[in-house]
Amino acid sequence: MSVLTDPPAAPGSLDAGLEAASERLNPILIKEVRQALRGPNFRRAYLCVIAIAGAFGVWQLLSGYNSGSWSNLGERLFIAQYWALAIGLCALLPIQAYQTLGTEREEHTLELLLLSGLSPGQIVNGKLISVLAQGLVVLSAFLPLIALAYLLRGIDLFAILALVPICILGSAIACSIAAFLSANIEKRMPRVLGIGVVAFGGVGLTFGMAGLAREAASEIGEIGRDPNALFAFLNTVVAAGCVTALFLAGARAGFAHAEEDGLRSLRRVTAVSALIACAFALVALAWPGLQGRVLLGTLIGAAILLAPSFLFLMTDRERMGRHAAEGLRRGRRGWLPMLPGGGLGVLLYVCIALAFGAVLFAAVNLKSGIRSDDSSLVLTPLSYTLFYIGVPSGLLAKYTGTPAGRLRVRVAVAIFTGGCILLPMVLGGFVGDRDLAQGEHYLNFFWAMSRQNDALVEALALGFVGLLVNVVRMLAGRAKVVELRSAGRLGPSAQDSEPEPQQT
Amino acid sequence: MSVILEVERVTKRFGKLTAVDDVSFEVQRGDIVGFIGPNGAGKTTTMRMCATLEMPDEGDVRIAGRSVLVDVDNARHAMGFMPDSFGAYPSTTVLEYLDFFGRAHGLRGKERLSRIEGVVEFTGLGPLLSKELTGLSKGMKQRTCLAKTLLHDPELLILDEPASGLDPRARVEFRELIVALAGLGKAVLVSSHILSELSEVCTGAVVIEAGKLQAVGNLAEMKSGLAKTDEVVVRALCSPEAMAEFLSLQPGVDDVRREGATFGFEFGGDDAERAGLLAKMVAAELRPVEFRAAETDLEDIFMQMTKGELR
Repeated sequence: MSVLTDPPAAPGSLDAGLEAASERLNPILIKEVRQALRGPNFRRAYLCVIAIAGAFGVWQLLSGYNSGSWSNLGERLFIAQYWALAIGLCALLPIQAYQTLGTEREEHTLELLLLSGLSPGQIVNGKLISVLAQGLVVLSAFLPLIALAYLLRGIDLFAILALVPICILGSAIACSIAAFLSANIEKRMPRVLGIGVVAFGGVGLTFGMAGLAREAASEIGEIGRDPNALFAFLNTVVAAGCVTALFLAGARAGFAHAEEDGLRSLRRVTAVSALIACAFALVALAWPGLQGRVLLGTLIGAAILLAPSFLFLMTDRERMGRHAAEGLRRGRRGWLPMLPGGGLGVLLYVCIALAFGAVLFAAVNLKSGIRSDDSSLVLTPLSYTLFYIGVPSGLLAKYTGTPAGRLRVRVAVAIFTGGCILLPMVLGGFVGDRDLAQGEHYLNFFWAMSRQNDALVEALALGFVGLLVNVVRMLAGRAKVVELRSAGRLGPSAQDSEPEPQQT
Repeated sequence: MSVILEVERVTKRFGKLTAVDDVSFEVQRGDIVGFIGPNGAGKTTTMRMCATLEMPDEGDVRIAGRSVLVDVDNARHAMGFMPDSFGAYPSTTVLEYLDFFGRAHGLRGKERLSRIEGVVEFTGLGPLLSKELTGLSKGMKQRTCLAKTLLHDPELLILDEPASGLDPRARVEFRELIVALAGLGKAVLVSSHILSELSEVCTGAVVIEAGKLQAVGNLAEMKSGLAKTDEVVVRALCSPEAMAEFLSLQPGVDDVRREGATFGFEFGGDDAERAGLLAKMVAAELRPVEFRAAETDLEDIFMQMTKGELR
């Protein structure tokens, strides 16, 4: 006799269909939704946001009644609802995202999850999707009120269709940053500080969203009619998606097993983000109505947005596990050195710089409004990133074996960057060099950006130094993997016995 | 018997502290190996390395032949780990908990249901399936955690202090479950501070202190190696004073100790001389009801192998 009280549903029934569909869903999502629906917290938060929305709406209606101004009531009601929506999605939801991963750590269930066969990606994605699903339930409660605001006139449909997705994207970015912090902060005290940062950032984002709605509610409707504005809007939406994906990939890396290549997804997302940026730039190149500065803005924005991912790629430990060994084996067959740890990150960044350079070369020759010296605006940030992050992470690579060591190296990157900019200024003050004291030197990224093409060669030289310092680290890492493999500690011995192809 | 767990010269350092230093042992299919040592000896660190939650700085751990350094996914699949603290999800029933972990292990549809049914039947959780985890007693939580650990049918079970905090009945029941698991061919590595518990179920023991291996092997062999062949235990219906006086007069009897009506003493003679001593007791009308050589238990092994070294 079955000990289970709920037998499986009969085939063909709705339950069986739902059951079959649930088999394909992320188990974490199912668990979290079950818990949220049964627990009191979600209901409380939902009712709280609805109450705030109702109160804001009534307040706007009353203030319209008192002032006797009914012409822009729809806009005022929308802004009031947008406030409440932003509180729910941008302030409360990121805290929930931070807590949901943190609770697993505090309740000692995270290790059980990691051993359960779920990948770090499934854990992080499942958690974030469940949080966003709760956010969509909150959003659904606002839709009738937002529709009422539109019917009352004073707000453009394009504005609603632009502002609501922007709020959702803002929420997704904030939640992914919260998940990233939660996954990478292990100790209790920093975790408490982390939740403060998430709450503070969420409140700031809420005010930002509300301000955007207030300022742009009437003007943002132009998006639908101006191709430049539409392009910039689409670019922003996709960039927000890329940023969310980058932080999620960083969160996944926080849960990866020490011998696994946890940064693989971060490298993939970085590469895909760079390709999307290039694709946008190429579209801008071919689009007759678009200005050249839109193309430049896309590439400069992408170069700056990709810097944090580079920080994580470069300051990670050398990988000595099976994946590194397999990559090394494949790499021996070709010219491309498959290097553990930050090596692949460096390689990726150089490829991104080359791709951006190629797009710019095409733009200079094909698009009016772009000068040849504009190329420095894109290549300078990439080169300086390589220098500021590459030099300290290459020199301090031996400390990256532990999470605490990695954190110290990342702090060292920030100190090194500050030192590169400030120390020459201090030195200039001592020796009486006025230009140096004012920060006019090639280690200062901001000054170099203002010099445009005049500083490009120096920026590239600095980037090369950042690369060179890491070559030592890459070769040392490669040598260590080879040593471990020949000692039989990595991969089956059959791999070791394979004949090595002749290098030409 | 095939080796399921091979711990090969593992070393783990945390900063300057060497938590585990060059430790090696094996656990075979069907074996229950007790992992014992004082607090801070490195037991949990070693178990976490076996469970792939910590990486050894040196050496390797193989689970069913899969290295935790090289083949983490398959090593994890071959192993079930039950930590010392059970994290219970709020607003989740026992059935939902097992269903979640079944899904996490990639079990689909009927296969998942049948596995859940199997582990529920084995652990006797049937009546509790609709109960919320947070409302369960410690013993029932441990059973639920064991059921979760068994869902993917691992070859090796690593149980860290499974009896801690359980009442005597729950302990006995849990012990029976462990024995039954070994009977099913699972290899079990279990740590506990309650040595009498381990003594009754273990076939082997690993003793560790200050990160270093002190002893490893079959429990029976370890006991015989440490056997107190000279010590005799006797209990009689006569007055304790009469027994004490009798023993004080016997040649070869030394170091007499008394615990209630039971006496322990050193006696250097062989089996024939022991038989003679017993005959004398009967003749002296001391009415002996128990006369045996003292047994070595896990506690004795622990006390002899460890020095109470602190780090």
